[in-house]
Amino acid sequence: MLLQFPPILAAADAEASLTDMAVSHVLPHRLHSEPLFSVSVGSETTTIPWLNIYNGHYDFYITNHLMMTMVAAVVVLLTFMYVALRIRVGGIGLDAYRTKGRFAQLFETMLTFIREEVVRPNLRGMTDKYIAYIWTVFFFVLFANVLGLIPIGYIAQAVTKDVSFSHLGGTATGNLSLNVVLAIGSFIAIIFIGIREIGAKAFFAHFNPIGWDDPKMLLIGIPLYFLEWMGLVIKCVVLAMRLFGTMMAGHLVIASFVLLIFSAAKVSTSLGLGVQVAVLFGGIALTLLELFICFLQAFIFTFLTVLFISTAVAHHGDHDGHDHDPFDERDQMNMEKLMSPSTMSPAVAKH
Amino acid sequence: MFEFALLLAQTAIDLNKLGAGIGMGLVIIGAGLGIGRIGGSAVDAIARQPEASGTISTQMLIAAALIEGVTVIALILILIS
Repeated sequence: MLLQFPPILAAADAEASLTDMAVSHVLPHRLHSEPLFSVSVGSETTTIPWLNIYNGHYDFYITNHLMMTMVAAVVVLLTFMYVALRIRVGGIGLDAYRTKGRFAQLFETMLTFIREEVVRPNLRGMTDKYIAYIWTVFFFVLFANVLGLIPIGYIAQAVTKDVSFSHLGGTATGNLSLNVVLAIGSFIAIIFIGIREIGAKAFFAHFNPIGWDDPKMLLIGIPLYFLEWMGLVIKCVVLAMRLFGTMMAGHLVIASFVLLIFSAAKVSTSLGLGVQVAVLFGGIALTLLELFICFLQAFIFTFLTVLFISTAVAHHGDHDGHDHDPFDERDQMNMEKLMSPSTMSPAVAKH
Repeated sequence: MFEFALLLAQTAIDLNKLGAGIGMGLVIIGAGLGIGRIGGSAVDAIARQPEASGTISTQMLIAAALIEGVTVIALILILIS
C-alpha cells in the first residue's frame, strides 16, 4: 500500500506544514503505485491537474474515495437486502405483517419518514413509482457520509504501526466527482420523470411560464426559457457543491483541530499533552456535530431533488377547486414525527 | 519612514491569506444574518398559525438550504484560490 500525495501538494517531505497535512486528510490518496491503465492525451506538455492529466498522460488509480464509494454501495445493498427480508410478509396471523427485529424496524422508520413526509406531500400519486430512486439516493448519500466518519485507516495505523495504512478510509461524498455524478443523476431523474409524466411537449414547453401564444410576450419568453434551463442546471450543480463543501469542510475542520496537538507539541511536550485533553473533548463535540450534518445533508439532498421533480411535473391546470384545503395534513411535512419516532411506523393509523 | 512601513507591511503581512480570511468572514456574516432572519420569520408564522407548521417549515428548509449552498460554494472558491 502506498500513499502518494498528489503533486499539487508537493511539500518537502520532512517539513510538510500543518495546513498541508490537514488538507491532505480530505484529498483522495492513491491506493497503489502503478496506474491501472494509462491514456495518452495531447502532447507531452499538457498538464491539467484537476483532471489528473500530467505530461500528456491520464493515469487511472484506485483512490481511497473510489474504494469507499464501492464500500458504501455494497453496504447499502447488503443492509437493505436484509431489511427487505425482515419486512416481507410471512408467518401466521397478524405477526405476518409485523417487521421482525429491531434493526429492520429502525430502517423501516427511516424509510417511512422519507416516503410519507418528504416524498408523498410533493409527488402525491407518483410516490410509489419513483420511491425506489429517492430511497437509493438518500441511503447511499447517508451511508457514504457516515462511513467517512469511521477512521478505519487511522485505527489500522495504530494497530499495525504502519504509516502507509493511514489513509484507508475516507468520505466518499467528500470527493467532487461523486457529487457531480449524484447531481447528474438528479438532473436525469428530473428530466426523465418530467417527460414520462406530462409528455415531452408539455415538459419542454413549461420552461416558459408566460406561454407561447402572444408574439409580443415571446420577446421576454425566449430569454426566460434559456434562463429557466440554466436555472435547472445551476440548481443541480449547487446540489453537488453543497454536499461536497459541507462534507469536505467538516473533515477539514476536525483534521485541523487535531493537528493543533502537533503544533502545540512542537513547542513543548507537556503543552502537547495538555492540549491533547482539550482537543479530545472538542474533537468529540465536533464529530457529533459532523454526524448530525451527515444526516442533515443527506436529507436536504433528497428533499431538494424531490422538490425539483415536483416542480418539473407541475400541471398548469391542476387546481383542485375550492374544496382543496391548503393546510391539509397530507400535503405537509410533519416534523413532530421526528420528535416522537413511535408515530412514524406505517402501522400507526393516519387520521 | 513611510516607505519602511510599506516594506514591512508587504513582507510581514501575507495579503493573500488576509484577503481570504476577511472574505470568509463576510460570507459567514451574510449567511448567518440571512438564515437567522428566515428562522425568525418562520417561528413567528408558526406562532400565528400552528396548523400550517408543516408548510412553513418546508419553505424554511428550502430557503435555508439554498442560502447554505451559496455559502459553501463561496467558501470553497475562497479556499482554493
